[in-house]
Amino acid sequence: MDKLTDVLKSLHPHADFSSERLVDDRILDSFDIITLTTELSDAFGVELGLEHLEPENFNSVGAIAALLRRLGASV
Amino acid sequence: MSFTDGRFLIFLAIFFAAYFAAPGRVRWIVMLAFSAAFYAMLGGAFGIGVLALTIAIVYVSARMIERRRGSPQSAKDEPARRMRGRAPLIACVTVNFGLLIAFKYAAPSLPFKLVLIPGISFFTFQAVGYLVDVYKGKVAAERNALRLALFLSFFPQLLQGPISRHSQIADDLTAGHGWNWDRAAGGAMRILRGYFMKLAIADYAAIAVDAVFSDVSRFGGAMLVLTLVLYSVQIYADFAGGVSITLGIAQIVGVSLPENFNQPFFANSLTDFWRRWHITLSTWLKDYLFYPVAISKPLGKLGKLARRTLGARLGKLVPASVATFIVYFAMSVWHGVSVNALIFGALNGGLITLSLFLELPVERLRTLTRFNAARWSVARVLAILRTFALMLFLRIFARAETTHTAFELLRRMFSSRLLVQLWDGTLLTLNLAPEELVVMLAAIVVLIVREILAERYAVSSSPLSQRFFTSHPATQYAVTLVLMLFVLYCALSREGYTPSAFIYAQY
Repeated sequence: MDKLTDVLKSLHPHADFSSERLVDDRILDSFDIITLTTELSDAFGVELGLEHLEPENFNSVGAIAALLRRLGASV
Repeated sequence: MSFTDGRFLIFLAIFFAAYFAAPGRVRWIVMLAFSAAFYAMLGGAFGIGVLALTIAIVYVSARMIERRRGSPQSAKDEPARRMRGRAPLIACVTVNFGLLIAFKYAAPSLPFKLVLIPGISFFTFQAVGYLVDVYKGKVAAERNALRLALFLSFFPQLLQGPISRHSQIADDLTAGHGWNWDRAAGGAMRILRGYFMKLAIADYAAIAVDAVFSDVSRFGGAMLVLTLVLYSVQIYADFAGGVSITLGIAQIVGVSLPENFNQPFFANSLTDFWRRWHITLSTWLKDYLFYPVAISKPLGKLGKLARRTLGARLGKLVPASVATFIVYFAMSVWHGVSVNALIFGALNGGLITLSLFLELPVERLRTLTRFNAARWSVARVLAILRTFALMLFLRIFARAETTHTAFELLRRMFSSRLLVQLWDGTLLTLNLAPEELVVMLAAIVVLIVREILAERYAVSSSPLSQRFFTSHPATQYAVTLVLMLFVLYCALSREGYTPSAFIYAQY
């Protein structure tokens, strides 16, 4: 989980990532999600594709972790 | 057979009669039969052949993608399954876009005559969106080929869109909705509004705009600016009018097609404009072009490099801005391949990309000056006027037939104002009779009032269309009567006049 938090903090050092509405409240915008697909793919050795770019997959740290686990990463 | 062809109204009347007379479970078959008949009248046997081939390829490919891809929610063999699903997706998308390019772009330059396929852009875009959604696991591949055929060929939307998603309309199309007075009234009003915009505004404006663009050297800057304003109104009335007719027909048979316009003249930035204009194309390009390009491996590497050198905040804009430029450039080139379309695309994409980088400093400046364009205020009005002026400038390249005309127009706009042409009778030399000019201007005033009210109620819980049907009956009768009078005048007063083709039907 620390690694995931580090990736998110590298995008927005001062943001509060405890929210369950990261995308809905625009804490993460579409450009952040594009950046995250590259960063998370590299950090966790998984391949995030077009089919994973849904708001519900990025709305909370828990949702991102669940997505990564589905793809076989250990978070 | 266009919407403004008298035969279309007869076709429509027979369609409604057949649809509502048929039992509920076969109504969608009636829709499909009328869609096939409509397309046969437009594109002939060859057109039907190309459409049928597209449907067959898409049907088989979607089933294959789904079988090979499996469930995207399951982690087992995820990368391998993804690769297996990707092959038929890429093959089918390539074939579909190959057909589009061959018939739309390559046809005019081939040594032999290739039949133009009406509506090919729209059914190709819908087909590709459907395939990608099946690949993403958002929709299940259609089991019944005829249902897929109806989704790709539903006749009201076949020529000008809107571009619909399978998940939005497939159930509605096959539900066999029966007669409903509220839906019928709403649909009829949309159809009437569409004909009003097309006949009372777009077709008259087209005559005047064509007259000016055929010889820009006759006119000074004032007339040219007025013509560009009129052209903006013309293209909106033409396209939004046509789509309004489409949405109205669909509404009567219970099919909710997505909205394609949201008062575009109230846009306060270029990006906002494209969120309000041809919305279904903009969102299609965002989902099926912007994201795939932005998350591609080359742009991923570029993004990493940019973040290292420019920092997190600016660096994240680099891959997004490259993808943004490609999207807006593609949107412009979709309108045609010419030097002017390329200039239009490069300026559009360039300005929007630039605005991404300027967002942060502009935001700081706004905070300092308390200049907030998001609310109704002087700042918002200024932002709307600035966006409108920018679109007028860009539209010069969209409308002028040659680059020479575009630059000649620009040069004359600034070299000779000739304000006097606005009142010395020049307006009466634009191939419109004085009463036609008056009818057009009155119709534009009606449209402006409608747009202001629609924008005002856009964010409220009951939008304008809903308010209209709950307003006093006298208001409803008066508005309907005014629109009908305009349409009747335009249809009856122009003997021997053929309405101009819908501009967007050619795309």
